Amino acid sequence: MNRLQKMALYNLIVIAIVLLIVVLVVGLIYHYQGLQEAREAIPLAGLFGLLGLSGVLFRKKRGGTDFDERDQLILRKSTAVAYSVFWVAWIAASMTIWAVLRRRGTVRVDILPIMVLIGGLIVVTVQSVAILAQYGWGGKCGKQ
Amino acid sequence: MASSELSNNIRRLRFENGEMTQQQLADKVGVTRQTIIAIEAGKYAPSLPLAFRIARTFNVPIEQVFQYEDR
Repeated sequence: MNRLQKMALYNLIVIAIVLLIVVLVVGLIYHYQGLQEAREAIPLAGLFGLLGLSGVLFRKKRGGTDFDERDQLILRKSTAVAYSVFWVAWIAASMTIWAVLRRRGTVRVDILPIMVLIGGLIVVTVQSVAILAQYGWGGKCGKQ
Repeated sequence: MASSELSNNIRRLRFENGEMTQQQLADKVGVTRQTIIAIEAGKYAPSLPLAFRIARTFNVPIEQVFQYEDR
């Protein structure tokens, strides 16, 4: 596996684990204490900040080539796919809110950061999956 | 990215040039070994500059390394 694949895999693992923790904790608190208390646990989503460590954990090799034109192309394609999916999801979410609440409806102020967070997660998830898919899921073509 | 029309003789040329390894070729042309594997397998069509660098490494014209079939 090269650096890009390791970073993609790390991102997917962090997203899966943090998502599981947040859903479990928020779900349990909601079940036992109610919606208001469950909302207090949402800042746990700050654990997604661990995604930012991928650049530190998987440093560039000194000397030698570890990122070439093919890697660049794969990254570019994956990013394009990720932002396309994000755009469709963003428009769909915005239109859904509009359709449900109608013109006079209001959106709670804490919904916007959650939408931005979900948007970011969509970008990172789709990009990581697209990267791994293009390398052949670390198969014959993906071996270093 | 995959290119079924583009075939290549890189594997044969590597063996004719002192059994050069994929890593050695990759180091000479400035790419990763993964990219050489993908090119040899026909899963990636290299850029023109990279194709020329590969041909020059083997001291042959580019047509002897890559063949394009019109389908």
